[in-house]
Amino acid sequence: MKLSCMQDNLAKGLSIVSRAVASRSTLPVLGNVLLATEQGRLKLAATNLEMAVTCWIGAKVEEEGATTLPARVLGDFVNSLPPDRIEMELNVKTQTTHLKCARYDANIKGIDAQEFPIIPTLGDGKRIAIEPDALREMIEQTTFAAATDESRPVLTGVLVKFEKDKATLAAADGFRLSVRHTTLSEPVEQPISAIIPAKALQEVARVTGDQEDPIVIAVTENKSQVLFKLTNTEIVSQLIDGQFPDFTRIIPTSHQTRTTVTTSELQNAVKASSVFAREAMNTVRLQIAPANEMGGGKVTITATSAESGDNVGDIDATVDGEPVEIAFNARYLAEVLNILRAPQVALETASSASPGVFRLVGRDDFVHVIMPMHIGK
Amino acid sequence: MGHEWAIRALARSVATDRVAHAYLFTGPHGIGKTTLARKLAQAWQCAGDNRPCGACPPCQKIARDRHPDVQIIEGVPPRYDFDKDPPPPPRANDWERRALRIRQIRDLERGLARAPFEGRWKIVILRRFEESEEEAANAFLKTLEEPPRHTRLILTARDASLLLPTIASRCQVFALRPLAPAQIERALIEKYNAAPEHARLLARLSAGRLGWAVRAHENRARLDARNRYLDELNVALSEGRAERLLRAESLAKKSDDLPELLETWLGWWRDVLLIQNGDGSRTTNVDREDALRDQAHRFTTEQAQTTLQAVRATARYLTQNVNARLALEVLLLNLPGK
Ligand SMILES: [Zn+2]
Repeated sequence: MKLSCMQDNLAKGLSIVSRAVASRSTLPVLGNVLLATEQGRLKLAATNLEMAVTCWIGAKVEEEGATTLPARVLGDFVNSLPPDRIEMELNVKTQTTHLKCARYDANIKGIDAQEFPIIPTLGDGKRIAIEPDALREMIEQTTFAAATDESRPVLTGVLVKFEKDKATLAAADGFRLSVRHTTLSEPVEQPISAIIPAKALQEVARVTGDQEDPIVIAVTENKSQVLFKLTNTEIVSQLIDGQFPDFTRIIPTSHQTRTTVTTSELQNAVKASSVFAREAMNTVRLQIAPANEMGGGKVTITATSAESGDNVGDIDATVDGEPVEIAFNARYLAEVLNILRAPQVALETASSASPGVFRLVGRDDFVHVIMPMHIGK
Repeated sequence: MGHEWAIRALARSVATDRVAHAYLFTGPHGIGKTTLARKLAQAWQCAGDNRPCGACPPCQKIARDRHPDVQIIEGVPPRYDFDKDPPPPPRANDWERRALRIRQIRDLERGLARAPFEGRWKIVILRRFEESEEEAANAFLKTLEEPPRHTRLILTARDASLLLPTIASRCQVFALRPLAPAQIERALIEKYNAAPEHARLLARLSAGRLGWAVRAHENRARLDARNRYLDELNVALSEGRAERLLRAESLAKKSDDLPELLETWLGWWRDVLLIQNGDGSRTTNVDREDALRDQAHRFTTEQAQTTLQAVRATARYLTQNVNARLALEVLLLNLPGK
């Protein structure tokens, strides 16, 4: 292998694939990045066997070939180089790659590319095209609700469903549920449903930044892998095997009170309360009062800590229905308010012991459910 | 090489794809359980026609333990820290104690929740499952009862009776039998380029365990240790009471070596008895025939018999946490003398 490429391209490519490098693995090659020439470009790839990221960068190829180099060493070295042309040459016999850039030289010892796992490519599986901005927003509005502890592997994933012209993403961790829909420009022939690890989707969202063309999603025939194809990057993820809970049953079908507030006002009030909530199992209380002769509807947000004290914040609200008091985990509230991207949010409640449902005003493509915390009197 | 019946039965099940999801291979350390497990994994993942072909990329990756969908798990040393310590080195000897911990079973479950990366199956080989801690074994039971659909599990153990009955009963069990010395001798010469004289000795010492013989051939340390253990015994036989007590003290310090030392001594006294009974062609320690004959002549059959039993009893005491130094003192003082 002999080629040259630009330092900034290589640094950027390495930063994209490096998230998939395995930090501790019994297979040493998983700590390496694959470098291979492919149709006049340089292909970079890394995998931790749960996810694989491949990225192609422009290169001047003089001699075809492939090797794998330790991700950390290669990344740190390339990042330290000036923005100039890098020349690369592999000595097949010693599996050592010589890098030269401006007045810097390095020899990096690698592992034979034969050892690198075979990364699945876009086969003849069913393909779905989706706009990058829509996909990114859907990912951001659901993945944060997925479980981070591995005791129930299906909950560390996001349920992704395509049916006719509707795409749905849903994530839940046992305390909250986030569901987001969107309309596809081209309907799918047969319904597809898969559980994709939340981490992999977050990687997809991360690399869609300068993507303009639609992203192609393909689920492989035996349904064990999903592939996201971008212009110069591909992300493959293992699917999670198992049954995702029927989330439609978690969403309450009726409510007693519907409270509409300005998102940023609630966000600020929750932020102020979390200072005190931290020492009280993260509990914040919402006292919801409809308009009466004394004044307009309002929500009073309070948190009380035995050590630090307490706080009270009032915000204006449009309240339809009965007064109600309900408590939530402050972090859950903050996280959902953070990803709404909408000026107004509606909270639907039935009682202090029933789940709270968050919706966007004037839109029915997003639902978020949070289990209430117990209100001790 | 060897275990043809097991290979035939497994090959049939692979050919017809009538495969159990869990297997248990039992037999003494070094008899070839893991080798057979790798073979079976190759048969399952092979991309060639005659599974396992041994030549296709999956077969070759498995042979070098480099296949992403074939994982070999075995116990870790005591007080091993999963987050800080580097991967544990191979065992110093067959007797080194390790434990399969619940953390390893949890990681395994996590991995199995994902589909295979490049192979047909996700295969896990759990070596020496008798070393699993109770909570690990109980946690594993869940995986064994409801394995994800792409999973194949292979357990190895010294004996099925050392596992929880609920585990053994959920596996298809293959008890591997020791091979004939001639078979091992031939394998060492033909496949591992061993010198004939060396192959003959290793074949005898291996007690039918090809894996042991191959490792001893590839790594002199095992044979060196065996020679040292026999030298200790032979010197002790010519020593007086005070010297034997000192020897017991120094031997007791290397407690990890004791099971293998006693195993070696047991083989020695068996040989002495064989010669005394006129059955000299079946001895194990063929490289030390002169010393064996000398002792068979010098000691009575009764002395050899008593010593054999004493060595066996000492080995048993040591598994019961008896003070090693005391046990060795008793044994050494009771060895026959000049
Ligand atoms: Zn093969």
